[in-house]
Amino acid sequence: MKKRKYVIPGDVVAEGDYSPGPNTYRDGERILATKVGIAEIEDNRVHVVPVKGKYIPRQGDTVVGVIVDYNVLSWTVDINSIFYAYLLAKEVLRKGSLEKMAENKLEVGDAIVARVLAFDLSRDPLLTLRGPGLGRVSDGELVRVSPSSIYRLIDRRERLNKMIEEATGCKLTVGMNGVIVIEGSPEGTSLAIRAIRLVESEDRPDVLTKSIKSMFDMGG
Amino acid sequence: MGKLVDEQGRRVDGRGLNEMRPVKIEVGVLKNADGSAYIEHGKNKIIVAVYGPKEVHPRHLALPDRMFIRCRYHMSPFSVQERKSPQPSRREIELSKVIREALEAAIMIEEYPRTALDIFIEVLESDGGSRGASITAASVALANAGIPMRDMVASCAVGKIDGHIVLDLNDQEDKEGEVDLPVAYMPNLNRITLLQMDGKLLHEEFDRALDLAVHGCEQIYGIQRSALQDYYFKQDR
Repeated sequence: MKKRKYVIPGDVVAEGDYSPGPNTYRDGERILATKVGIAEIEDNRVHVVPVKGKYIPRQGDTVVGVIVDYNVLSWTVDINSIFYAYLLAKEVLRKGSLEKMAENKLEVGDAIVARVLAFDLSRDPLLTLRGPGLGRVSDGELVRVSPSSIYRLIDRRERLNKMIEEATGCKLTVGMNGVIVIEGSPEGTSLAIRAIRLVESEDRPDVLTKSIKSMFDMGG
Repeated sequence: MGKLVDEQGRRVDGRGLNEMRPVKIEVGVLKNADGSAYIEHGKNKIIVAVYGPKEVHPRHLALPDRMFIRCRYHMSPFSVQERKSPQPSRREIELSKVIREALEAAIMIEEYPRTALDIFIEVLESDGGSRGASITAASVALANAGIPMRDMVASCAVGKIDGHIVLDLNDQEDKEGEVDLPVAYMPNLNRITLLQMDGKLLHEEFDRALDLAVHGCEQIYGIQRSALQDYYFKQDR
């Protein structure tokens, strides 16, 4: 049974034999929240889903970033996080003809879809472009949302983003860092952006799916 | 004697001895900042902006095991009766330091090593107790920015005027009274993060004053809580 509760920093989420999860800590017998958000108690685990906060990279996450700098060995990428990420040249350039290598050249200002290769708080995150669906973004629109709302878009068995894709005919590439690439017709894109903004502002799961559905049923 | 408190125990602005000035807090008033808050505490009008956690510039200031916090308390030239020079005064530099330390006790600085956090506090109109109002508002702005904190920090001053221990001094009481004692307090942890005293108190008076200050901080905490709740959880329910 899941229990939900709105909390601000310092609020007692649970008392007694619980183990503190993300955004909570133990003070004696009590578990306290460290952020504004929704506390969830499941079995004996407690955690807080923050309403706001910066993206913290996790190994394996797909992110959308923008190149801000480069040197001989690597590109520096703004991934909307607390640190810049680094993309080493060997993670970009593939073996092959010179033409192929030139195709992969990245310039400052280019947007890329990448995967987080490694990260811990003592080092800057490393990215890779090796993998299906990764690489430079050649077309489409970037939409920035708060990273905590990304989970609403994808985590519930990937229903909402698929729903938006089907209704608008656009292709969505969702970066866990809160940046989304939308590719498609101008009308579909603007409809998709409105749907994403709705996902960002509405955090009640039951209401959310319903209101997205009714938005598409009305024809946008 | 007797000009700050009359025979009925009323103060210069009509308040009782244990009564606080009206306090109003707004959350998320600045779009460009990661977190922000605006407070009106009596005649104080203060705006706080928080930026971070972010990369540290210049690079050498980064700390390998914790967050680097910068805090700037600044009074606008128009915040007082006579124009104040915009250059940070000795007092403002000191207040920046004590406010930073009062907040640093609550922020989980070890969660984000090698990052920086900027706290900008701008006093638009000043009254007595502006450091307390700044801490109160900064704490709300930090919560708005999603910075992990052990607890909120609420702050309030007590003082002694005409021989009475009173809550929340205004500008005149601060200047003409005998004692000013600002306190910042973490209500859920029951810990004090700032304690300063200007003047002299008897031991017994000090105990009484501190109890009153904690009582005041708890009232302020209630206002912080409802400001955050109104902003985040009441918009559409």
